[in-house]
Amino acid sequence: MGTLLQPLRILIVDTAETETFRIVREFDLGSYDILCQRVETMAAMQEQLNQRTWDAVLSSHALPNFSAIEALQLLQANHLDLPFIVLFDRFEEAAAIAVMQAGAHDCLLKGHLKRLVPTMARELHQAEIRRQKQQTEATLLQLTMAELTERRLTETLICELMTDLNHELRTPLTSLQAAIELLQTGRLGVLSERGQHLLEIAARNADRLVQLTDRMLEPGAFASTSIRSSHLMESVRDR
Amino acid sequence: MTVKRVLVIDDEDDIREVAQASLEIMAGLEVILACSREGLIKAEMEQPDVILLDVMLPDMDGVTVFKQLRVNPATQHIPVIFLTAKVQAFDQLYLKQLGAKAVIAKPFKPQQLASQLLAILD
Repeated sequence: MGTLLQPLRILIVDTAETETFRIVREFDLGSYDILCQRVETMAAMQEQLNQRTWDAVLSSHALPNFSAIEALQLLQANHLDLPFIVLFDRFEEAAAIAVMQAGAHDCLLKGHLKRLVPTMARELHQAEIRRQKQQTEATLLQLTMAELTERRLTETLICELMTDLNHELRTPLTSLQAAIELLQTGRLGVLSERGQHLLEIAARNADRLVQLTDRMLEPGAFASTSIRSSHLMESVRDR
Repeated sequence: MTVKRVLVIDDEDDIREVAQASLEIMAGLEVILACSREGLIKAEMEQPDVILLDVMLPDMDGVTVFKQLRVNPATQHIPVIFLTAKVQAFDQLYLKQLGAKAVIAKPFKPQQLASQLLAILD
């Protein structure tokens, strides 16, 4: 029974067809079921990125039509986080540093392709880790947004409930407070001293209820827990 | 001296009664009482000097009543004062911008109600 080959789709940016054969041979030896496509221009690279999903990009550093860095930038412009490995004809330290700083994942010499397969395996694994991390962050963000939306909805509902309740309380308070004050004027008959004292008690408590309804409409009055609600009640009681 | 007349439009029996008592005792006004829809009829028939209009009416809200008073040539000249339990600043500003002479928040003090109506009637 044969070994299950890992499928791998590689976009090769190079002018030399022979390089493609050499690369494919290395991956065949490395137990990959490889599909690759060679492109020489930016337009051809963009067309391939549009047509198919790729797993990695191998780019020759020395290109007549466009540079490896430009190929990398095209990949980035397409918002694709794929392993991007640059192949050099010969060792060029400054150029290698430049492509790494631009975002390439590794550089290899074309004459030493034995490192190609293990390097690719490593970068494919790293790319998968980055994808999983992004997925987790996106999920967390969604959960946070959902929680925030629910919380905002709850606060809106509470606010609407308080506004309605406030209105319902003010209506009977209007009659209560006005009737008490009219009696206190004495124009509807003079009460005994005790009667006036009881009216004062009624007036004072009607005032407390009005103040409570005023406090209900303050921003954040009912934003959180029962501890805060009991503080609200206390502050009105102490006045 | 002719006694000034105020039409009080409110669906709450108790509020109509305390408003009437406040305006008769504290301001010496003659008070006509009405609920929402009959308020439009009474405004046209009685031609009060001022209308005190509740905002939260059950079958036709106070703002709609106000707008109908405004489009009727027989009542558009009568100053209207809104009476409302909606005490938030933006609600009150909205009501003023509609064209009301004043907005009085519930609960009201009888003396305050009387003073405001007398100020408008002067």
